[in-house]
Amino acid sequence: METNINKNKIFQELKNMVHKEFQIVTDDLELSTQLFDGGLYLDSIQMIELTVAIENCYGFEFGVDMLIEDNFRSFDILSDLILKILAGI
Amino acid sequence: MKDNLNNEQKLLLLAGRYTFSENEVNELRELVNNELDWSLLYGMAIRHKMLSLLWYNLNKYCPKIRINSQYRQVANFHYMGTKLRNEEYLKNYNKIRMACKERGVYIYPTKGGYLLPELYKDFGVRTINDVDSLVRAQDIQILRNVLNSLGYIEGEYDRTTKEIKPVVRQKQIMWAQKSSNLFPFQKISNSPYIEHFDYDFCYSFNRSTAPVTDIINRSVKEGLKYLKHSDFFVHLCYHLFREASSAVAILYQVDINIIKFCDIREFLINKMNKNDCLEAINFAKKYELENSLYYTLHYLIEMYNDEIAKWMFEELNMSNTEILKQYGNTDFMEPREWSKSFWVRLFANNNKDEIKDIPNFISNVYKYY
Repeated sequence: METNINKNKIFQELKNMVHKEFQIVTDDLELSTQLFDGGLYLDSIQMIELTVAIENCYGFEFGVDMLIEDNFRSFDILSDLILKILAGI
Repeated sequence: MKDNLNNEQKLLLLAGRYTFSENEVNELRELVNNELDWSLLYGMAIRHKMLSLLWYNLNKYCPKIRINSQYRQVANFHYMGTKLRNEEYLKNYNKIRMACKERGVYIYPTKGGYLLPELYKDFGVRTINDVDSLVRAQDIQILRNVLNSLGYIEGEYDRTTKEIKPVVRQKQIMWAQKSSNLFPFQKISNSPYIEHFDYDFCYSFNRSTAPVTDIINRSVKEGLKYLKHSDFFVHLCYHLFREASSAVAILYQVDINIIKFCDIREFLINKMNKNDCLEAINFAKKYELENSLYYTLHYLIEMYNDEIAKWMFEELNMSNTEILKQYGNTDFMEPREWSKSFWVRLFANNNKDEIKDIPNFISNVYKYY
């Protein structure tokens, strides 16, 4: 249950970042929303800006092996990754 | 095609090797007896990063050659400067390697960093712009700490201020997503032969860290100073194929040159036995790198026609000729077809005319300058 709460919090924070960085209305976004194809359609530059915003928000740097498209596919997957990094896994 | 080359091109191709048969030496001697356009030859040799090698071979096999003293001097100084520069570069690299090893990080040199001391052995015959290594993804943070403590930063050299400017995080991320390397580690040098040291670290092949981890684990486990020959060979082929078929490499004019093929040819005929070849094929198949071997061996046979290359090509047993006709697989949504032949591209000043639209990576990267 604790994990879900934290995941939800991360999801909310990700939505705030998306809104702040790209002026996207985030009311209808769900955990399953895709970040690029078939979802928000963020381009590669926007993905990089979002990555940096996440790093600044949580105070870590993604490892090079984490910077793959699959890890940024949806809010769900990305939230899980952030949770894992914060938990030091 | 190869049969239509002019004398300067034939000479360059022939001199683009370190190991000669008797017939090849005779052919070289015959060729230099012709009237040659030395300025054309030197221009091409520079483009193919083999002015030193050309000079070394002419001195060794055709010492009586008649050549204008200015041309002689330029090549001689280039050879001597290359030698001093490379000695300094590799001495410095060994310090980094030792410092990494003390922290439990094993880095293994690829390309020139290995080939110069272990294959060519004469530090003047081959230029190096930087030294490349393989590193396990899990070791990257410690590697960064070690290099930072030695004064290296991930950045770019600014020729106007003569400083290394740290890379912005956005560009570093883009680099990680697009290439298999860390952003280059640089440091200003005190040597008159080197403005700045530049060390590159590769941690993945085709965006997968597993093959590099596999290669390094194997070498560490066996206590090897260098990579296993089969692994080293696959990396050379991977690197050659990636640059030969990348739109970004074409625009930066680093797609194909003779020295890259020469390196692989010399390594193959001097360091690899048939068992190594089979191991390399198995490793490439395990990590879906067969295209790299296919492409490399196909053109090595066209250029040098060595028996071991032909044998290995047969053993690889592939018939995917499509990859020879295409480029830009990783740059565009769809691969593009070459309009020029391999031989025309090999001897062109550059192949930028092949690129009709700019890859996203190029247009994006300039946003962070």
